[in-house]
Amino acid sequence: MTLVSRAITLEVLVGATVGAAPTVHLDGVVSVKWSNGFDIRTAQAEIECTDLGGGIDFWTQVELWVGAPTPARRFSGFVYEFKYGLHPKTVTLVCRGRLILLENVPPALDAPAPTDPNVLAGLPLWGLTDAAQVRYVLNACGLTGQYVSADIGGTAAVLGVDAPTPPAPAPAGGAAAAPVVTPQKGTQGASSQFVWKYHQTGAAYVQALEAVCLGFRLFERVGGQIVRVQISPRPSAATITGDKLFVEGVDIERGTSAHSTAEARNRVRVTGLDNGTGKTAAVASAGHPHPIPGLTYVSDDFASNLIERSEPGDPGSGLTCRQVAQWRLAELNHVQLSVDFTTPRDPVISPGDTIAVSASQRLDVAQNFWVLHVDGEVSAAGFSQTFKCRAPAAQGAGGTPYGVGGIGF
Amino acid sequence: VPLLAEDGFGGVAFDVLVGRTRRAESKTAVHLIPGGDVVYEDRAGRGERLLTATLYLLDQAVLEALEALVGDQGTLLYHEGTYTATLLSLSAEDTYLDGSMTVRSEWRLA
Repeated sequence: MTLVSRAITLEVLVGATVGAAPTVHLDGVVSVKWSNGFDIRTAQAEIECTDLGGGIDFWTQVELWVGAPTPARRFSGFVYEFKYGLHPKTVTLVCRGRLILLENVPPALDAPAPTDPNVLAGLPLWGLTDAAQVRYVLNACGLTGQYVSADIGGTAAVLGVDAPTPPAPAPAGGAAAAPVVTPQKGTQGASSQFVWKYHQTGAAYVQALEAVCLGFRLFERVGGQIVRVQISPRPSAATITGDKLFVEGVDIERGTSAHSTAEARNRVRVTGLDNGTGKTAAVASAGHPHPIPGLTYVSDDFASNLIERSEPGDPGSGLTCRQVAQWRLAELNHVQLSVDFTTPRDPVISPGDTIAVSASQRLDVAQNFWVLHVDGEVSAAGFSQTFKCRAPAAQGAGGTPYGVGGIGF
Repeated sequence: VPLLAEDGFGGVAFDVLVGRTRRAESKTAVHLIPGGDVVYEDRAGRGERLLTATLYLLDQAVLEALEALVGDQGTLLYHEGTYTATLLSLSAEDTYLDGSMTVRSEWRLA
């Protein structure tokens, strides 16, 4: 038998006061949990203590350092809630990562919205790339200095550039011209789609962008780094060894997997903004990985006014229905493999990372996956991490080739 | 058995008889990896020190005095030393004709 014996290191640091950097060691910690994922965006942590010293309040800064044995920062954020247990007496600090600040409406938008449809109903973000818009939202929500600008990526498209306004036709029969009302920019056309509206949270604005931005997602990595990166539906096929390789019989303690085509779609219809000549649109299709008998296509319909053009060759600079359709087709048209597994190992692995899982005997998977969600825990049961992973089935493992070639974003 | 009343806790005198066990525990957790012969052991420091002992008490009144101390922490005196301890439980066992009795006790040592 191979016995891997290691000491568990656990340290919780808190700010001495609200706003202070987390430098004070917290005693009496019984257990900790932390979570990161695309499905939650904002990191979460729960720190169970026997009691609390003074000074810890809502929005006290918290850092969680855990390792087996070498500690690494697993969480950085704020105290968000307190939970109490009767017996044994416990106090649990429910914490959230810094992106929780996106759940708020900034002061500039926390005002009555104008009732005149020709008056701008929010903050103008048109004429910027999606990455620049997200940086603006982050800053407006109080996260200036909490992220590195280069970590906030995005498409190259400049969004919300209005098409030139055609000249108004002359009134027929020499009638007097109607009074000219000049709508404020951003109240119609492409620019109006990129207005951060009154009473809209930063998270809601960012989420609307993410629905069309070709897989770019804003989230917190394990440890607290705020990033916006493109999440590929198809993880790298490069050979993975070392810390990011997990092997059945070696370091996988519990696990389940599933192979499914329930969400497979091999035709995607995308509808975008009406640019004055009708709705923009595009259709992308490919062979189905496991066709339903009697059906050629299983379709996905998607619509968003944030998509400004039909095809890349169309005038303008915004995202195109073609790009979005191809991206969604690549994301949907495959045999979906999902693996959820728990390991006692302690490498810092974040959502969006690519790992390899070799578990062909029991889970029927042996390929690379991208990590959707991470849960970590130190408790009486020791140290463990649970990863939720997704990937299209590799050719041969899922049955057929993808049928989606030449996808480029 | 003559009661020497050499030992005590919280002002209640008794004798510790045979059957004393003392146990020091660790805080470890084990991960068993299925499909292989690998075991992960997480070491998280020392756990609790527990003492179990059979006490010889003079009579029912002494038992009741001790029962009133269950759950309390105090100074435990017995022939192996003096300890800060919490009396966890008492289980009365045999009662003799003279009213004396034996009681199984559990303690957590600081």
